[in-house]
Amino acid sequence: MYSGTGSIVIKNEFLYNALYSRLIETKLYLRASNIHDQTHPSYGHHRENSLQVAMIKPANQFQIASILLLVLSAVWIGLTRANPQSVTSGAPPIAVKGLPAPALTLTTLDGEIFSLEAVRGKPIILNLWASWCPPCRAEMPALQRVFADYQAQGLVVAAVHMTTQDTLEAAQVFVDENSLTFPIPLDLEGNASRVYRASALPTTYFIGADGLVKDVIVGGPMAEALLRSRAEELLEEMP
Amino acid sequence: MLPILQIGPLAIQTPGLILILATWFGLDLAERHALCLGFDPSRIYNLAFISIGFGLLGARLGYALQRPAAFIEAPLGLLTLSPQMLDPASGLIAAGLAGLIYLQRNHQPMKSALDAITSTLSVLAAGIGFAHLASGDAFGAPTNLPWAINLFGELRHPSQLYEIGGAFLILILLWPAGWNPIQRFFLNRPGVRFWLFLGLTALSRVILEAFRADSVLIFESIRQAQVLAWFVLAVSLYALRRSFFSDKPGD
Repeated sequence: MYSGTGSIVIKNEFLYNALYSRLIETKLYLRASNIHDQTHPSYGHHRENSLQVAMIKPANQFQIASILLLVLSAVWIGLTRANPQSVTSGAPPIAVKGLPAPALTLTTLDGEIFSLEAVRGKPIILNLWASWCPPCRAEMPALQRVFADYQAQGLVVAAVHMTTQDTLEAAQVFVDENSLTFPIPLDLEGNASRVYRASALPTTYFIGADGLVKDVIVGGPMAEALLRSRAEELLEEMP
Repeated sequence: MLPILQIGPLAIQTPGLILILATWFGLDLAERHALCLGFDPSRIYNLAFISIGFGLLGARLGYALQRPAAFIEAPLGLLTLSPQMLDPASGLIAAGLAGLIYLQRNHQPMKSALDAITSTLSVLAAGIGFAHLASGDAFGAPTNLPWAINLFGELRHPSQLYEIGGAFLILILLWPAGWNPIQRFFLNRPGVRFWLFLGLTALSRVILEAFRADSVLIFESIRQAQVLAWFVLAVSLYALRRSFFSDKPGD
């Protein structure tokens, strides 16, 4: 590696120093004593001027390589620019954080029609629940308070009842007991459960005014402070 | 994808479980590597627990300070165990400061500590990839390549697998052992291992972010994560240059 001509010495200087990990010590040693480097016997066969040139080069080589790497990285960033539509075009088949919330149209406990499409442009808290689920029951009063406080600012709250896993009567009793005033859409055919991945209850989706799923919280009960902070974030992002 | 691990009535969030396991394995690995990196192994767990503890505290306070109204209405929210109510930036600053103060108070070498904790960070980086795989986050852009995976009804880049592969490659490259030529040639200066990890991780992010479909964009089409990673790469290269070529022994 180090037995070639002067030009090879320069090219391999950085590797040489890395190999021996004593760049500075070697440099100082050579400059001070101007005698052979005892750690590498072949090194001493080169002329003094070769050594002086070689000592300066490695740092420059590293600098040039670094700049080249940064330039190539910047070019790559430019070449891989994203089309703003490539992520948001077309609703995904299931709800995923960062992607548009899938369409959902359900009949509510009051017999009205609730459609996510109809409330597009407003921030939405979409909660999936069942009356037999203790954490669902525990967090519902906080959800009602948040709805009461932020409804006037445009926040939509809907608690989709997992009707295929529960009874309508139990849902009605729970809603009456807790005086819930937000819509209770009924998942009569299990579509909402499938599309919104109700693998565990409660599951809560925070959907922005732009229609994108901002966050998903699986499990509960959620702290009221968390609900309030998420509601404020969604409202702040409203155009 | 396995976002929830259902064990009877217990629903465990798989990504969180993976991150806890990765932290545990990472700390264990850091303890094994610490001695050959010039850091007292017995201080690894102390350093980690102090940093994590203050990091969590800082992250919660940072989150609360940004949304004071929510916590004035429900002050007990400060004490709840919701991981969603954490501000990562505040947490990182608090963890870094706490770790720094711990090292200074105990007269421990900063660069050797960073080199040792790099083992934890490397395993954690791979763990984050596995967590993304479990949750379905950080999903790839649509593609027709032969190794595409079917996710959310479309053939996509297996971006989470790219992430895991990159993290493991960096972990192996920086493994402090005699058989590793990089260790013998480059890593025997304090601080180099940490800066190499940071630089390589940033470089992999610059490259791999291009295959993701969940990128946050700035200036309409530039991926924010790539730009941030580019700056981290630049800082790492500068720090590496100083580590290799500085005349000052203690620099």
